[in-house]
Amino acid sequence: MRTDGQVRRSFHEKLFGKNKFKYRYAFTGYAMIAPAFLLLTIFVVIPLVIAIVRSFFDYRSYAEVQQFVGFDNYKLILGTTSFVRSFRNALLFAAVIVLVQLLLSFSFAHVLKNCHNRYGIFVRMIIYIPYLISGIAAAIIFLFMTNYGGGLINGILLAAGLDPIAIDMNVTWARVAVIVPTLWLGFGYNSLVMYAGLINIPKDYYEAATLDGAGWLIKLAKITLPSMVNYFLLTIVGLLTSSLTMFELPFLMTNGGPTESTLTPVLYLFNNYRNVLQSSSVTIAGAILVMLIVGALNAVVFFAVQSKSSQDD
Amino acid sequence: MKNWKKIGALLTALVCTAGTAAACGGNDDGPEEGATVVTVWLRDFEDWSNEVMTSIMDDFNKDKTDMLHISYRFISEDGFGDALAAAQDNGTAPDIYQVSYTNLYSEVRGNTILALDDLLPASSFEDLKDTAKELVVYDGHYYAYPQLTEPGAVMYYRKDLLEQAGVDYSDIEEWSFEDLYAACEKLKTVMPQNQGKYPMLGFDFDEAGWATQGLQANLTGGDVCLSEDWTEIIVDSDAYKQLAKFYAELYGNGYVPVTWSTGYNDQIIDLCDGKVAIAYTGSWAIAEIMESYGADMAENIGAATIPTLNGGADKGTTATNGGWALVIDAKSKNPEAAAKIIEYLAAGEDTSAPERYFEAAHYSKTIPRKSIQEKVDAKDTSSACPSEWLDTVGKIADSAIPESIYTFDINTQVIGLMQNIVIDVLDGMGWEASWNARIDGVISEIQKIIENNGLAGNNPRLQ
Repeated sequence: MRTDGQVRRSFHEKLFGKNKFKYRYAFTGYAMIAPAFLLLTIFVVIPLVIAIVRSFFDYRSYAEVQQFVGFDNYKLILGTTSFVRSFRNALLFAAVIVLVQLLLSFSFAHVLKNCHNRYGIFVRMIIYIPYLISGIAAAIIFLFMTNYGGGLINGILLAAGLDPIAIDMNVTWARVAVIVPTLWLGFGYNSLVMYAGLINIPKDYYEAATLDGAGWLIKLAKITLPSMVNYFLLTIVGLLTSSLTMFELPFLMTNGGPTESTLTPVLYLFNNYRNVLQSSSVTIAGAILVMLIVGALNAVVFFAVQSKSSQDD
Repeated sequence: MKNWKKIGALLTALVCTAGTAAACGGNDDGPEEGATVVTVWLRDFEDWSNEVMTSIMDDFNKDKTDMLHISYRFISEDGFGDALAAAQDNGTAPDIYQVSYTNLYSEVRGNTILALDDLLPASSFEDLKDTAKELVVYDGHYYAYPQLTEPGAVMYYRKDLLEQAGVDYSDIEEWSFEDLYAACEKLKTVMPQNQGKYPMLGFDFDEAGWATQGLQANLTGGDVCLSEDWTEIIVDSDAYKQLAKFYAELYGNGYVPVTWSTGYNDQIIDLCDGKVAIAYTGSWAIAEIMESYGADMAENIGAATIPTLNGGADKGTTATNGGWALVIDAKSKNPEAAAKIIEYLAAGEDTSAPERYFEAAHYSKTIPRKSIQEKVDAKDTSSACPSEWLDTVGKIADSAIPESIYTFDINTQVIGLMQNIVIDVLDGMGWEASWNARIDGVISEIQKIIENNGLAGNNPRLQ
């Protein structure tokens, strides 16, 4: 039996002829991707190639001859304790944020799924709003809340007879101060992604499982979680990438402190770019390393959490 | 309808262009025909500073006979480095730009600026004070002309609050650490924490990497973090232990707030607002007091050398001389014309332009040239600011040292050590136990930085 696609192709071939159809299709396709291709080439591919080349030189803008240094810039940045520490911090942030955000958004998606009335629509709209706020605005909001002298949180603590918290003088609270706004910003979006996943699971599965006497735990393990693999993959990749490349929140909330406990790789590179005694190529080498490591970790996630379609294939 | 659309588009373009021009902060009323245009990039500092520099350069441009024209821009401090690096990469760098003394060496090392020895008259360099000269000379060449210097650590105090607390400040110029602690203890009674008030603001950890260098030199007897030739780390010493103890005393006894939203450069605001009775900051605070609070507040504020371990009449170095100098880009097409502009702005025989600047600054910037200093000394400057402030700041500047020029990561490590000790102290640990637990790690990190950057034996100020 012919598939739908084969039927459609033969219809077009009859109408336009095989070659003509192919030509027309190709032109439209190329024309449609051309703007994106051009912009990506100008703003991504060319700068990336230049950056990779520069990372192998001791680049000085006014030098007559740029000195090739091989992997020295990479060795230098990898030998820098602050850079390595920033990766450790980022991995810690990523682990906490991915785990907590997955649990929170997955749990809240169940609440949304069971909110059938008009309040459900309102709640879905409200929780999405933080996602539209920039990290800079979020940092300012949380800075006001955590201000040592007159912030809301410290005001409550003082009223309760407790000591105020100085986030820039306490390693644990500094990390919490970076993680909480990050969770708040992404909570709505991730909950809606999970919610979309949940409502896509056919009800028949649950009804059949109920008839077979399955409890909620069995349904969760055998129906919900396997059906949601693609949504988890999307969420994990997004959270992992954003956590490892965090910049504006630690920059504004703690400036990487106290004592580099909230320093992230991108924040380190931003600060190190101003290390005037070092060639900017060292920073570029660091940026390429960040890109490679984030890419590699995402690849690991892709392989570890096999997508539904690949399983089907 | 089409016309309206065109007008709309034109207006939008006009607004955008005007906005861009305004954002760049430049001004250009056009050069005389055939004139050499010299581009100058300055930092976007305080309003009064930008205004007086604009006025000085506009006055230069009014003369249409010299065949020279200044095209200037003020660029925010945050974006200056990036803008300059991009312009140098693209071949559009300005002829003249401002460089901090700390960053001057990197410009020399990167060959991005010209030596000025043959471009400016020898008399301009001879007129420089020794403390200014040492900031701009590398390998025996002058690479910049000092526009201003600023001692980065001065102690300001509120006379009324000290009197209320019963603190005798008649000998404040000679105070030791112990005298400071005793004063802070008394000040606690009139500066209650539950009202958001504290005895003092010291060196915050964000800026302490450079702001404490004068105090570090005072404690060590001259060097900061490394020996003079950069071969030996001097942090594991009694001098730095005393610095750690100083921090532990201030934070552990609640003399300073655990954290504070006002940065080191602006701490004078909290002093004037009565939130603290003593504040450390730089000489630039004089201009802030006079511009924003006026003479009445000035009468109630004193300025003194910061306390040291032993105190005394002659404390020696207690501050670094920071500040700004003018340089000529190595690829300037008109270096001779650029040199003429530097002469007008800072280095020439006619000192009217720099004099105007220092007057507008309420003499909060110390003067790098002997001839200008003599003229100012001969003037009655009492209307600009209290004369005792100028005496104090002048004395601090005379004994101040240049900021360190090795990679700043070393200073970050040392101040990170101090911050960690304070965190431990606030958690109930003793400062010495914290020191013992952390010092080896810091020394090992500094050693790695020295090796990675090839610093040992390469202090350019010794070559």
